[in-house]
Amino acid sequence: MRFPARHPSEEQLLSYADGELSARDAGSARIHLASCWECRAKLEECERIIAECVRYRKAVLEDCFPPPPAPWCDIYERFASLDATPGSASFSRRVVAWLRPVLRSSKAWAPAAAALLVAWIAVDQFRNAPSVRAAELLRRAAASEALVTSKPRKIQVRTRTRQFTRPANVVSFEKTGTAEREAEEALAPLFEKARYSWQNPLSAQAFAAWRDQLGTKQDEVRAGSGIYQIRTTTDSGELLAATIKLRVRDLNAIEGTLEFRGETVEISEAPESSGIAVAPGPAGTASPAETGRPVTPAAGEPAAATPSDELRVFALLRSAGADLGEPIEVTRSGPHVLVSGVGVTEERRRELAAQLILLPRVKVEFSEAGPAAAAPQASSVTPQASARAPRQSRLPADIERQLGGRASFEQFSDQILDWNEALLSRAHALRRLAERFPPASESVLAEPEKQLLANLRRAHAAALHETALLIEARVHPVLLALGARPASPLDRFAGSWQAGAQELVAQARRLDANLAVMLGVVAGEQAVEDLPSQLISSLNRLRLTAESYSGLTAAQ
Amino acid sequence: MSLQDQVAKLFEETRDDVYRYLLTLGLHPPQAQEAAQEVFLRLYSSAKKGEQIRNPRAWIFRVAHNLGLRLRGQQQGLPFDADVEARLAGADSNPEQSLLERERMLRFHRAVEGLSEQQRRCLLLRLEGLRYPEIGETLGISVSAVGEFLRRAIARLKKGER
Repeated sequence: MRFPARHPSEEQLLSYADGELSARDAGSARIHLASCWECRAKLEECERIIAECVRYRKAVLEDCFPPPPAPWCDIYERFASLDATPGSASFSRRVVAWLRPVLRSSKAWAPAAAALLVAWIAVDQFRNAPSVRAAELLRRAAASEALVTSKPRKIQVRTRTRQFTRPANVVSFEKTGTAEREAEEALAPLFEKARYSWQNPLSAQAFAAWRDQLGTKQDEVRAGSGIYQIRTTTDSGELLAATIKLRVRDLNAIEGTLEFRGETVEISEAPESSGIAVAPGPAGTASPAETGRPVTPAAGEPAAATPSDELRVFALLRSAGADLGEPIEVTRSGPHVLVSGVGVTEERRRELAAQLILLPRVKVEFSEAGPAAAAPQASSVTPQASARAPRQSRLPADIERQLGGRASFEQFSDQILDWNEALLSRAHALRRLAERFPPASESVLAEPEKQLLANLRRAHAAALHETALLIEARVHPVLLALGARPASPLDRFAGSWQAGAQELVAQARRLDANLAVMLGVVAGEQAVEDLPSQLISSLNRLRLTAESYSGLTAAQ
Repeated sequence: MSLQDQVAKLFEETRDDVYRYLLTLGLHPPQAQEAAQEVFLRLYSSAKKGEQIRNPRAWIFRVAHNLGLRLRGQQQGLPFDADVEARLAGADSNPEQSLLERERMLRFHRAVEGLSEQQRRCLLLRLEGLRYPEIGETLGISVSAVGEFLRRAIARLKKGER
């Protein structure tokens, strides 16, 4: 497009103002505009309309449209769930499934009194493609490495010409002996070039980080005698093939072979070293099944399943996000930890069973629908919005006015109900841990396992506390404006974490009941005038308990 | 900064704009919220698979536009209507705005509503900072068509003012 000596078209003027003309055309336009008042006035007119559009965006799109949600969802949590579902069949369905926890469809598995139709699942461990399987195993192993603070261990490194022992995870390399240091220094650049962590080479994290950045790769996964072996080969980079062996029972990396161009490095746990699984507990308290159990399952009399076995199941359910309101039961029965569930979807059953079967001594039993015994623990008294009973309390209407209309109220109500659901499921998850690991069971756990248990409840406690804060922040201003009395100060909760979990469930239930009346989900039984103050005080109490509980559990 | 952090930052910066854009497409607020979130999950997913995304903002609006239209097609009932006229006329609107200003905005709003669908789409996407080729890619039209639609939109708005 060339600018003639005569006036540019309006479209050309707009394109000029929008910076969409080529450099040459823009140059001609500039020269023309400098000399032509008529065109400059036109351009200014155009700019004025543009300014008006910008004002319109502010005054209409921003101020007259419903406000954006506040706060938005936690996008990191959504990322994590996305990452946790490799090879997703339907992207949006999985996202939606994650958004609407199983709790929502509680009716589907409530005491439906249907015939107990036990469907045994034939789980094909390697149903998935090797690459998916490898990625999944590595992800879980890396997650468990991050979750469990293991005792420092040592590794043995062997090359074709040398052999030395060093700590498994080294931040700076200064404390090793000189001869070993030399050997290490020779290897470090090799690892660096291959983009394989030399700091902590015998770890699923290191393997996964290297594997993730490969362009083309082939995976091979094998299982046998208590060990998973993942071998990944590639044709690019310095490292052509790597093999890692993970112990099935705890997914600890115990051996690795790295085949560089022109050098092969073998890494293994040093004999005197102790990983998590063989870490001795406090003298005399570790269960016999735990201390030094050989990697290959011993044939012979089956020992009873221990709290440690059960704890591993809980840790796995946590990493699969399956401990929040899903109808899954965990019990110890004889030599097995029995994981049972009623009405879990087919897809979910397969997913969970495929992971659970990796743990030793675990028996998985899922059935189609079941008796009342399997009814949800975490069922909230607040049913779906569609099932709302006619309102009797005046409070919902007051709040609606306060918020400025129906739409805002719906938004407010949905948000609160979602949070409430999340809060209840966390409280129930905590109580379940408390019930399955009473002080007597907890005391037989080895030290790293106690840590793992503490990590599990810390995760729940922190989430619960955060949710309580969110609810409080959203509900407080509304209720105070309606004349609620501020909460009076309370004593902090002090006691064992097991007792605290019971307390949290009781308080969460009270709050749930109050919120249901507040939002008009159920008709109110209490004097309506009192409800706002009651709500504030039940929220305050719950938040405080959650706070001291988080503190309690963090201190341990 | 990790990939997650990068996308989370974009999410924080852009989500409200995306949400509003989806409302202008006729999505109802809860649907718009869901869709806005999904756009960023797709961004994360695509970036993780190694897709090169040169201008994330344009990418985000392109995906939001397509997703929004698809959802709008599946949606039953009437498209969302913010009832701008009532809000602008209502007493609860911004008290800082003078009556005169509100009336001007009302006229402008009617002019915007009077644009053709393509003119309005081009205008709203340009308002969100997309360049002509990006708008063209989003709407499936040529760059010169974008220029022409925008020119006509501006001309109509100018007329509508009087």
